[in-house]
Amino acid sequence: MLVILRRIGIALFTIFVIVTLTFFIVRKTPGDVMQAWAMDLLDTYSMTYEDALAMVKSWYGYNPNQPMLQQYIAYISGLLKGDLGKSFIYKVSVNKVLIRALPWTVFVLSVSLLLSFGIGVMLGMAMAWKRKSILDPLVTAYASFTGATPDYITALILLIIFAVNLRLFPLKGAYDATVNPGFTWEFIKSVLKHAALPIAAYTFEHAASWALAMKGSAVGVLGEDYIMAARARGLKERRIMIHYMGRNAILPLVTSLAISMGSMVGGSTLIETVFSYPGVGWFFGEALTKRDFGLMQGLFLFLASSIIFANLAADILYSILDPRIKLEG
Amino acid sequence: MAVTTIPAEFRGFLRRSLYEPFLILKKDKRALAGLLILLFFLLMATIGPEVIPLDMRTNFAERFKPPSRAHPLGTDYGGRDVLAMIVHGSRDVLSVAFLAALFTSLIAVAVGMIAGLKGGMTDAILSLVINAVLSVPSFPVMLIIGSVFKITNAITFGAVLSIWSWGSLARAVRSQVLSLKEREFIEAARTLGLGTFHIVFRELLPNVMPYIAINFIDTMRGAIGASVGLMFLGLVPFSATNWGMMLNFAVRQAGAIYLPYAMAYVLSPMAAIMLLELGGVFFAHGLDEILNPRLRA
Amino acid sequence: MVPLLSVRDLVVEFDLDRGALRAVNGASLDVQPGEVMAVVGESGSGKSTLAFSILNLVPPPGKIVNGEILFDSKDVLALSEEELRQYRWKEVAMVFQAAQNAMNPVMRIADQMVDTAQAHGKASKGEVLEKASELLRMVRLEPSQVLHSYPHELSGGMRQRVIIVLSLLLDPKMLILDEPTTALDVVTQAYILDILADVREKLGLTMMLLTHDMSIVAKIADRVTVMYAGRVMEVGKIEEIFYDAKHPYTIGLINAAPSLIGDIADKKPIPGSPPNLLNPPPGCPFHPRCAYATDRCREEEPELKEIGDGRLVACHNWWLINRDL
Repeated sequence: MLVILRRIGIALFTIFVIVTLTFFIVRKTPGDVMQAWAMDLLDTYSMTYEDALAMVKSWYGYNPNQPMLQQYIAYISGLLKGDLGKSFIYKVSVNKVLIRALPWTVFVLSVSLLLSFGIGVMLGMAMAWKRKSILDPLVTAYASFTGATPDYITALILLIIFAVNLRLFPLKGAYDATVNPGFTWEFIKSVLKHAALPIAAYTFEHAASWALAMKGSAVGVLGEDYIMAARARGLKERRIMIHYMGRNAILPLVTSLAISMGSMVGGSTLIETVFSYPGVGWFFGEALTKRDFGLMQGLFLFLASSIIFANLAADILYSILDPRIKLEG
Repeated sequence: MAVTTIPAEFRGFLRRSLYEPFLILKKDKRALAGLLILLFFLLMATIGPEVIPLDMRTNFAERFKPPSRAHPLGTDYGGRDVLAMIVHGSRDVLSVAFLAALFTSLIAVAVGMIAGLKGGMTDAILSLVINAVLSVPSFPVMLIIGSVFKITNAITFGAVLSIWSWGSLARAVRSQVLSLKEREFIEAARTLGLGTFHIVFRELLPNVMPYIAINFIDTMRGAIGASVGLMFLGLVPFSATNWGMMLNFAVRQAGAIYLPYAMAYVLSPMAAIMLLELGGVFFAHGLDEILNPRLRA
Repeated sequence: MVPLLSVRDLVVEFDLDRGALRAVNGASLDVQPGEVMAVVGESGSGKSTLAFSILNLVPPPGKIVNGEILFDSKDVLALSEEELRQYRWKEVAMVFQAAQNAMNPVMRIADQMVDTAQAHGKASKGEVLEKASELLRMVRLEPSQVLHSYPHELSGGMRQRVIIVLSLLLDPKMLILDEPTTALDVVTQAYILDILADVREKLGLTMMLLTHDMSIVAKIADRVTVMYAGRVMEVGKIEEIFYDAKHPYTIGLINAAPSLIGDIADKKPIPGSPPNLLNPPPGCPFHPRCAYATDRCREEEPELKEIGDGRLVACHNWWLINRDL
């Protein structure tokens, strides 16, 4: 129990550090950007430049009249109430953007993670079990290739081949604009079609490295006494492969799952941009290119915190799966 | 006669640093291939621009031309030769990656050493920081920093890329320092009254070097990927020939992916990036074997 | 009597980079039903490999290159994959050396018991656990405590006993024990031997006990086979071996074993070093260390000859050997 609390404490501390850093980075927002937004407001609504600038600054909760410390406290208390800030481009709160975008990102990322982990683990088990098959050199070569290629390039290649040239998959969006959202087969089909390439991009990129990791772990497990003992007991080969080798080999990979999730979220910006897929990453990219600091900051905080908690959850999950670990300090 | 005999120690040194690595590389074909690829790009970056002139004037009549004798990789949206852009861009790409790796190594070594040597509260705090840096994925951080602070040249670019990448190397340095601290030769050095400066530079640093060297190549690889990513999103507008910028223009701005005859234009920077990264991966494997004798099969 | 186990001219080779290592070099052995046969030899004598061969479980790069193994008149080496799988554990079970690691760390003991039983045919979980509980009590363990635990939650001695229970679960005809007490402290050793004697009495089990420790042999064995360099050197009833050994190696083993009487400094170790199994010297494998070696020993390999009822020796000069020399 104590150890779990300590871990949670560290996680919260990390988030706190991130929040503080973000606060100060926003303070450093180049003046010219604020001016640009102010000019934009001037055009849209007629108001004086000073008023426009003041309005821009207030969007950030940036009240220059208050001392820095008070601003900081205001910001933190806002956060605790769930106020992540406001978006400039969309003129709504960041939370609203999140509600629209998050489901898509979660959908694609979770399917991708499951697929790449599942495929990888099965491949890895097979590679370790049958020592001399063509599977091994094939998968290893594939792994070096995808390991070297950045994920957005894999995504681009897939886009070019399948969407542009073969026209098998759509070029952008989460679903066809002409279809009404709802529990219809039409809609579901459209969603799947649009999500297919992003999921494929992630899976292609990561499946091989899971396979190699699983193979490495499994080969180590195969050398253990209990595998031979299981054979001596006359257990079926398949049973040994899955329950005696597999269950033990998968344990170290579970901690990697969390790290992998982190990097997938980190890479989501680029991949979603390539496929014009309206998830959190895509909005983050828009916020970046269009200099919408409010949205940028809010989304980033959300992303960072979720990853930190995901890591924490993975730690706890691992301790449940491996009865030998009792969450030692 | 003494002039022509090489002292035994020097011979040993030569053997270890040149001959043995060469043998290892000869045996590991992949590492050799990696080294060749890297040398190729190094050559491209250093003398390439001198050999192939870059003409950045726009000539819209020539835009999106497929590969031909005049333009082996075709032309871009402004009618400019793609091959020349790739060659010139290699210099940017490699220098940014190198700088990023340099800064990362410096920060990581500094943090790791201080944390390992000082111990106590300093170590506790620094470890928390390292932990924080490692748990938050670096790419979004770099995106934000890149967006807020204008990146104007290779040095600032390298700095931005290194801000969040030093975590794992710092951790490795710290644990290495911690384990070395207990060993006798450090005790001996202390007893002899040799200052901290000496201990750090003559005793600890050489032992930490292998980690740094391997990490350097990996960091460069990561920096290439990240820098191109940042440029692809349009956040770093300072160099037009940098492969990432080429990709940005080709895909996002000029829509060249929809034009089948402009494929060479789109694919060239991608192929260059992939090749360079592949070279890095293979060579890093060989480097690992050289510096870590236990891995030699 | 027809022996339960009959091994003839077994040769097992390990294909290593530096050459072919003959772990077992023409060994023959018989085990009668209901007896406890001790197979004695130092490490490297080939006894473990012999045991694995009986289950046809020699780990690669090892291979059985010659020989015949008959169990209950069945040709073990000719069994199909499926028949072999059924044969293992149901007919012959084995308790491995340092068995602490013989169980799956992520499965509870009960589940591993059920797994073992169900691999050999339909059995309900309840039946299996009932049988397991009965056996656990026989080895003086408390079923409610043990069955729901994971292996690492039990002590070394407890794990050893659980392994023994696992091996008895399917009522095998023969149980092979490879150094069952080596990894344990002396007190636990005695305890385990007690339990083994108990089990044998209650179940009428045939046992093959592999060890290098002569004191265990004295406690529990009926007959003894002595192995050296992958070959059988001597076979006999326990009294015959202890009081009237005929092979120089056997004599050396008995003389070297410490006892409560007498000074340990008086004990004579066997001179020389263990045999080279990659390039075995010609003739008798023991001749480099044998005090009675003659020229014939250096050239001609002695056959395993029957010199009495079930009494076998592989030595050219056996009738000259006098224990007290």
